[in-house]
Amino acid sequence: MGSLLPGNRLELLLRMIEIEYKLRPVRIMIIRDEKPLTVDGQHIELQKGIEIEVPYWLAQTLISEGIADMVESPISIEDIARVHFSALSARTPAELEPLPQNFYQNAKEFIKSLEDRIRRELNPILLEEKQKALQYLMEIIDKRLLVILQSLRSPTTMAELSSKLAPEESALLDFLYKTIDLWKRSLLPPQH
Amino acid sequence: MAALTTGVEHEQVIDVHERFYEFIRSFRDRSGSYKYRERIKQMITMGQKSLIVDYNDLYLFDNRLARLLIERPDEVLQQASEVVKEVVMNEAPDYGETIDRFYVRVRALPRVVPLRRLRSEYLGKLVMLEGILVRTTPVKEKIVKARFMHCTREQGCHRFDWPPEGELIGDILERPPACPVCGGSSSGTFRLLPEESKLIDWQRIVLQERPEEVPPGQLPRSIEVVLQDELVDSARPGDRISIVGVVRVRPDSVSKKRAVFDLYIEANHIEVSQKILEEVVITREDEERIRALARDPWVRKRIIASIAPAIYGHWEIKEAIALALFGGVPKITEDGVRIRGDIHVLIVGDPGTAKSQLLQYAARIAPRGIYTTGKGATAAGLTAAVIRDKTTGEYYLEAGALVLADGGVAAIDEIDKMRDEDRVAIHEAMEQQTVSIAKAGIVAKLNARTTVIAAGNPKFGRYLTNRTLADNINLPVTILSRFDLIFILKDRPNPEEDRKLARHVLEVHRETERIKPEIDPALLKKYISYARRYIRPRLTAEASKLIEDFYVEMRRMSSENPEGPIAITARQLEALIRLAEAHAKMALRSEVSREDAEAAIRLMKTFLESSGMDIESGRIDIDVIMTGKPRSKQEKLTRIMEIIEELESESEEGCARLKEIQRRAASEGIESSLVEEAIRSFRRDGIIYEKSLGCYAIVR
Repeated sequence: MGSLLPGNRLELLLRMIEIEYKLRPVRIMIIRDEKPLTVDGQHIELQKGIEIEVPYWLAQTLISEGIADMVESPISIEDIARVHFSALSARTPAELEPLPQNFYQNAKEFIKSLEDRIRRELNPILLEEKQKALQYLMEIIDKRLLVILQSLRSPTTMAELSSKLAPEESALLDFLYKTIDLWKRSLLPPQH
Repeated sequence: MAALTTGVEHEQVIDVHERFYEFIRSFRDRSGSYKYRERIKQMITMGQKSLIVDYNDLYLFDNRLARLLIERPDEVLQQASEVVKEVVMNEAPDYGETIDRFYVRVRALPRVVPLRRLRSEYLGKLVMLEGILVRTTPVKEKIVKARFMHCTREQGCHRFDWPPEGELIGDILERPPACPVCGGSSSGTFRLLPEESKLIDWQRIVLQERPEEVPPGQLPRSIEVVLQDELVDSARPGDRISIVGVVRVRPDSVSKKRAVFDLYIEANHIEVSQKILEEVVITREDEERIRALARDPWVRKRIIASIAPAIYGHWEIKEAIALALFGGVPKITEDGVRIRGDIHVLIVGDPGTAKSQLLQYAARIAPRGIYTTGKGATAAGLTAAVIRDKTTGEYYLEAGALVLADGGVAAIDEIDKMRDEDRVAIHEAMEQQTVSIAKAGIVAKLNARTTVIAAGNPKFGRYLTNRTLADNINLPVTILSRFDLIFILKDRPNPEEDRKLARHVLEVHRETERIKPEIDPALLKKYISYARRYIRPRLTAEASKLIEDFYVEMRRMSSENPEGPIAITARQLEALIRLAEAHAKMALRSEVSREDAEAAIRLMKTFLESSGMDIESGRIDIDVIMTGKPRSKQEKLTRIMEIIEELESESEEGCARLKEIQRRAASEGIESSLVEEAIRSFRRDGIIYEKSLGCYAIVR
């Protein structure tokens, strides 16, 4: 990836994070007997009542076909509201709290699932929930982005902040840091 | 209605009254029902005056209002209370008129402020704290609206309420500066009429940091919390609670310097945690790891090997500690009888056999573990105490270690060194799992569902194999019999074993980093916590049969020889069930299988053979533990008693001479030392008395 332009590199990193999210193993409960599956050389029994571990993308397919149910509970609007509260309460980079694992991807999936349900159910509560989730997500992004931008001015803050950032945010911070560094170097006379 | 502004992000004006009214009127949960309208109806039906609001709901409805509630709780709660009154007046005016003030109580704030970090920056703000309730005062009555009588020579006497409408009395009741009726200030007398004043229930409690949150080497922090009205008596000492309240300040009563103040909390809402070890946070990822670990067929062996890996051997003791950490399943019958699930373990051992290390390790990995030593603990410190506050003179009920470890493990080292009067205090806690106290007008019963893992040294320095367990340890049989498992650690030289131990100890010293537990202690703690929280194994028919057969077989051996010892009692049967359940819990299984029952029987047999063996008859005799005397000894004591009776009736002086008793006892094979011991014990128990020098008679 060394020869990639910084912008393309960021795009690629974000894409990789998304792929990693879709490949992560999740536990599902089989709710209907089906013929066994073979995915990537691996044999998967689909026997009603058993709990198995499959990649997330496969879990989604099995769930949409009515074959399985997710074992772990998905993210909810309350979870997003909690993150919103803590993000907006942080006054300094030191007070910023790490996000729950896969927060951005989960929140995106949650909003997408709400959109699907709204199309099917035409429920105003769902519409309101979706708007709220979207608004909270935007505000969380704006607030955290502000902290990331502030940290660029001081390498010590950056070091402290890096452990609290989600992979998507780390990719952006890294990209911005390198871009600014490149820009600075292009403005200064060469050092010998 | 005054509008409030919020300093969050931008300066925005919020009409709290209107927004809160809208929240109650229009907030719908996911099922589409009007949650708070329903709650108010329920509140009216139940005759309550508090509306409980989930902070998250308010945040979802209007996050600016929710933030304002945290920043300026007094104003927001006051207006919210007025809104509730308004709504109640619409719904049920008759009920609304009978209640002076409705309360809006907020639960589950998104952030918990650690007690250690509570500083003046939170002053006047709404916070949520978590901890253990360690002290409570009795409920008192506080005046919120005082009625005064003002009498003057010119105008006579007249009554008035103070402070004026809309204000309430704070901590200090002051005389009104002037009479609002006649306007007179200095003339006449003001008299408070307490019976005609408005009072509310009031109680002061002390919230302390949870033991597991206290940084090593530091003292636990605590804070006073004031409970009012419906909140009083909503929690007991020893309860793990979360409190939402407003941070307040009052002068430090100890210091004379007026500039020094103490923080305290005025509670708005209290929630008692369920006793399911909530303090150990188990994330989804942790659950995955726990489940994966449980799938390992060798998981039990790995858990046992993870207990104090630096200590060589003692596999059975480590297994017993592991089982005690997991515990059996507590049961409550329909008629309210509680059967304990906790497994109590006692280790009696020669000095230098790593007992203390084992105990400390157990307390460290137990989800709610407390370690204490016999010398450093008093009855009050272990159970509960009534203490008097030096500054206020108030009596407090303070919870002790066994109450604080409710739902967890209390490791008591050097239990034999405790004073008798302190040691008896743990009787009730071990079997009934409660601590009762009745001192200084405070009568209370606190929960102490605590597993006790104790250790002690033999009475004579080293364990004497020719003596019984009760003879060997300085512990009353009433306590001994409450332990499910007792292990004896004898330090016997054995060249082969000694070499292995020496190699192990040298390796620990040489390459400390290589001594790693099979399972990471943090994960093991979570694993234990998970099992205690969610796993409730049930006995299968097969396992029940096996335990039943074992019990009946052991009893049969006793029944065949009516004169013989009793090998096992119902107490051990219950212990067997608990051990089998704990064994199943270790692998997170929902059923107690044959294998679990076999393991429990094996451990019980080991325990009975080592501790419950009558050294004279060479047979298992549970009376060694239950009464401190084996059956063979009991028989001899009964015979000595009969000899005294016989000699007393035969002699002219009406008493039995010691020499005569010893002679007759010797002819029946009873040694004279036992006769002397029996006479001492009979005299102590008031069964016989010394009628004349060296001549004993029975007390009738």
